[in-house]
Amino acid sequence: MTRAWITIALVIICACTEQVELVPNDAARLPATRFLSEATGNNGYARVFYPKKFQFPRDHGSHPEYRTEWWYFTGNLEGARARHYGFELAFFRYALKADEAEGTSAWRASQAWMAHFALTDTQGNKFFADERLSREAIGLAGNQRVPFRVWVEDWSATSVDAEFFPIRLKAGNENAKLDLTLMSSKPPIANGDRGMDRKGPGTGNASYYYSMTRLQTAGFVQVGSNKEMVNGFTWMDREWGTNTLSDDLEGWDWFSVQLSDNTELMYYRLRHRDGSASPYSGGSIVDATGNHRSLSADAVLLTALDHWKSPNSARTYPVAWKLEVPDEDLVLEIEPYLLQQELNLTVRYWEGAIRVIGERQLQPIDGSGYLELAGY
Amino acid sequence: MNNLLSTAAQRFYFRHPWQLILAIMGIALGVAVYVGVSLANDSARRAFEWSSQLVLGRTTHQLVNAGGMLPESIYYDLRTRGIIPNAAPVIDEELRLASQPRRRFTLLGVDPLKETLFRGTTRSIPGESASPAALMVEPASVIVPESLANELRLENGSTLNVIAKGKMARVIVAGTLKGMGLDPNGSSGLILADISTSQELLNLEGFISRIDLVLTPTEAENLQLLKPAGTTLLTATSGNAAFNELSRAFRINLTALSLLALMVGVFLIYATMSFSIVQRRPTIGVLRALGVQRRELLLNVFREATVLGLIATLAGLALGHQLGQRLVELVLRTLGDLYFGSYVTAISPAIGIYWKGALLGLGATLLAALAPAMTAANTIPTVAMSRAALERGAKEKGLLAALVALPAATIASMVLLLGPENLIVAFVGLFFVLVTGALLTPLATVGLMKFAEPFVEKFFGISGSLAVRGVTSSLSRTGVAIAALTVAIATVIGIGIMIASFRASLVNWLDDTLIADLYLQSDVQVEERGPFTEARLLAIQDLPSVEGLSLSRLRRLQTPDGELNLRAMSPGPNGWGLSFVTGNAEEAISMLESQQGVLVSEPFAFRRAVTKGDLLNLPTPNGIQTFSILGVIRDYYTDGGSVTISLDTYRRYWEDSGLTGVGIYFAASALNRNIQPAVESIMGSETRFRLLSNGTIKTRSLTIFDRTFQITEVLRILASLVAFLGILNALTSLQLERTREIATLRALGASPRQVSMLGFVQTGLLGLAAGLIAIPLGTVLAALLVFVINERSFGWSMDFVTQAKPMLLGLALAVVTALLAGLYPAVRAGRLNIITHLREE
Repeated sequence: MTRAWITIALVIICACTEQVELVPNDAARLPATRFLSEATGNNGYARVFYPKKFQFPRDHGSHPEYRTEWWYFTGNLEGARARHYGFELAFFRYALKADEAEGTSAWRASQAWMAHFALTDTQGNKFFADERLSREAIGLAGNQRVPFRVWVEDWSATSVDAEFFPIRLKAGNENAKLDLTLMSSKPPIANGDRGMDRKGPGTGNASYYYSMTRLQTAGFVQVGSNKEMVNGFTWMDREWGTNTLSDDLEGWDWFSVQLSDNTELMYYRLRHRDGSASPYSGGSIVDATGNHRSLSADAVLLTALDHWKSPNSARTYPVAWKLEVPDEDLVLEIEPYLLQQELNLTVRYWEGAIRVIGERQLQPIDGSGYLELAGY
Repeated sequence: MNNLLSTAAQRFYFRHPWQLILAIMGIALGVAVYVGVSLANDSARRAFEWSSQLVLGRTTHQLVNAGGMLPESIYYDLRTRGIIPNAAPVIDEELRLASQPRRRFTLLGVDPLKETLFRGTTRSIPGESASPAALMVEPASVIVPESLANELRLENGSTLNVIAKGKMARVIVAGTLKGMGLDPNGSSGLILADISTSQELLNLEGFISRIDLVLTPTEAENLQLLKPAGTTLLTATSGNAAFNELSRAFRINLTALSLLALMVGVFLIYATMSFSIVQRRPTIGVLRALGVQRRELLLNVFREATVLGLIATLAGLALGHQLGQRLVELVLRTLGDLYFGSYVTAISPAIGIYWKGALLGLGATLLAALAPAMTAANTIPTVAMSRAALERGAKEKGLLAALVALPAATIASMVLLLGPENLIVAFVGLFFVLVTGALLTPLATVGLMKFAEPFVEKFFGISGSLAVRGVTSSLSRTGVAIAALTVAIATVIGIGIMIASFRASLVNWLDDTLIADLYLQSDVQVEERGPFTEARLLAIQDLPSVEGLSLSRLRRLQTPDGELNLRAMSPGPNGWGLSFVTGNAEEAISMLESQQGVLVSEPFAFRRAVTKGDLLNLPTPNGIQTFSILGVIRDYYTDGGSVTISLDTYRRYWEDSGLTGVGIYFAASALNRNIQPAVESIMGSETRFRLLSNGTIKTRSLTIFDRTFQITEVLRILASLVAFLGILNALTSLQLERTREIATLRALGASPRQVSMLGFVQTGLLGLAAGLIAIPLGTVLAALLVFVINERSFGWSMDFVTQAKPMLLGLALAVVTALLAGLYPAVRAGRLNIITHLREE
């Protein structure tokens, strides 16, 4: 999917320090997009031209030869008495320079990192979001291959031993915390064309993209002083590449759904300025055994059902949807667990836990997932 | 009737064009001085705030290492343990330009990714070219003040040679910082770089200066418990407490000066306006006798004053704006000189000052015009026409003023003696002293004239006698002008004595403390030996004409009460070179040598309210140590406060063998010239030091001293100028008005020379009176400045040196001012056409 926007926002932070909106084509607000393509350019970075056979655990680790990369965890959890929580923990890497930065100071770095954390406490009607920013220097942030670890300051995703799974997520602040252990229950799926996910016209405008669609999750969440044992499912997205983003894009809507029949679905719609969907939109659908197939832009029908206006930003987000996959005879109705799941961080976007009900081949079905709304 | 009235006013000014010009100039200058000084003051204040805002941003606390630099691993620990959410690493060190090594800049090393929350510095960076990402990856890239870039024609990518920690380095300009630094020759300037670049430039790999924090009170409490050993948590302001305190004192001094300017301005406007009305008393009387109503009369004066005031005020605002620009430069340079390492920038002035200036100009003009007009309008027309009545009234007023002076003097002494020891209170007292002086001036003038009459008559004959009587009888016109002149001259004398006292004390102190012949100073602040290796010191010691060496280590210590300078000393053959204020020198030094305590500087003792016998806690790498204060010493160098300790004690507690200074003592017979090159050759290729002779340091110190008081000097000149205009105004008008009297004298047989002489003697006597009254008043003022204001502002004491020079200068200034002012009227009086003027009425 297309969280490249968020890493671009990292560039923006480097370029101007005020809060930015995820409206990538507003040249006045985002001089950084220019900075990205002109000031430092994508010269010297590796690009994605061909499909790829992912090799694990190697590809779980960082690919610093590419400009951007992320490890993205979203999940729905259940505590005592079916209390619902949603969480997001994402680690973004952004290369400041194609080659090694030179110098005698340990602070000299060629990589910058950002992490986003959000926790949704549905019953408590509370939403927490925070971020961490650091360069890859003096051990403040980075990635380690074996045992796997990715971290920004005090937040991390760490393999418990030499194997990639189980993996432990730790993040939070004085208001909300999580400490979760993730186990794999399905193999990774390669999105797009055998792992190569095209973002627009032109060669090299693509990224490598794989997902772990159903990770068995157990651990603790803490809201204030109330610490609770939880379990549920997490979705992990991995993506890296060196993209140039086309100017006519306004934003995107990303859906990940874990259904009660042990199937999963991911779909992203890239939105043009005029509201139409880009032909480079797409997704994947995974069956109960772990087999998957790609969904093209026209394989999915999306209808916004309801909107919510954020009191913080006065922005209106389409938070409820009807998602149809005619090929699969699948109709899903999507609504957020909580309306206020807008992350008011250096980068502002809506990303939240969603409740899903619907029908597959006329049989009722339900589930949970995550929805990301950017560029509103 | 209105027509007639305005025609009368117009005719008056038409017949007395000088009067008109003087009135406008007087009002304009009064407004200009007030506006100019206020602008300078306001700019300085806001420049301070802006500068500290730029350095501190939203920082609430700072974590520093009591022992100096902070290992960067402490930052790593804090961040990765998740103890504090908002922390930013900072390097804060000095940088000099290689081409102009005397210009200092502050190199602020930051992590751009953390700056969003803290300083938002990037908002001051114009354009998009200055990408903080490039700052992070490109070695040696820095952001320089825009003014520096303009001055040196630097563009992005230009290189600039700098001296960092005594080492030459080349940096690359990656962008400019807006609005930084006004004075191209001053020390102001902030150079911004990434933390990595800063470490590399300064050879500080592994270390940072401090960690800036944004903490809630709870977080601060937690951190107080959890902070790593050897670190100190400061509130962001306390780190700069001394700086704030000083800048506050400096600003109050400036405010006082602007109030003085205001007072002189009001005096001048009053003198000008009221005189122009007083002169027209006969006309007013005639008009009243013709049946003009009081209301109409007043309305007309009001209209006239408004027009005059408006024109003059506008001119004054423009003039004040210009003056302000010049003064700001002076003020900022002074601040840059005084407060080492801090940078001050000019800020566009507040619009409110211009409004206040306008209000002052118009308001004072109206009041000054209306008061005499009302008196005239209220009196019976025939009385109004008579001048004798006016002068009788004036004499009574002189007495009344002298009576009012009594309570003013009482208030002054009560405020000064019984009031709290506060700078503002001191200035209030000072103000009342000046008011007392001004109120006593007319009566004192009368007294002086009575005393002087026989002498003057002896020298100048009848015209002398007439002149003396003339002074007394024209007080209605000259009283306010003389008072203004007296206050201005007293200020000139007072400040003169104060500066002379300060300078003399500084010279004494320099003689007492600069006892070595040559000084080696190191630029290196870190805990290492720096350029002064054992081998080099031995080699210098062994030079044939060197008698001995003194060693010193100067370092800044962060304490919870603010920063202080710790000076560790090992004395040379001529002793310690300390100048004691409190404490027995011999006893204190022997205790200092036996490692039993510390000496504190006067400002330090003043600010922390400590004295001999008190205990002082100092942070050392092994925790807080308590030292007893053995005495208080004079120290004019570090106004932030300093603590002196023996080098052995220092090395024992701080475990630091570093040296920052070496004093070289010559044997009595030595030839200085050969030693300097010998020392330089011993230092060899080492560049991180400066070699200065005793004389050079003294000269430089006095140069800085003189520059510091340049602003005061400028204000003295301004005060004199205002007083000059005031007296010129009053005397010119007086002489012009007395044409009939002069014509009568001429008709009675007085020669033109005698008549001119009469005018001269009279104005000279006025000046002399003002000057003589100003001497005691100025001395009182100087005493207040030396013993009260300066001590309360800076904590410096000084010897009061009553020198004849400032007094005689003041007296001469008064007489010359008055004579110059009387020159034109006197010459004119000599050339008078008697017949026309006798016939005139």
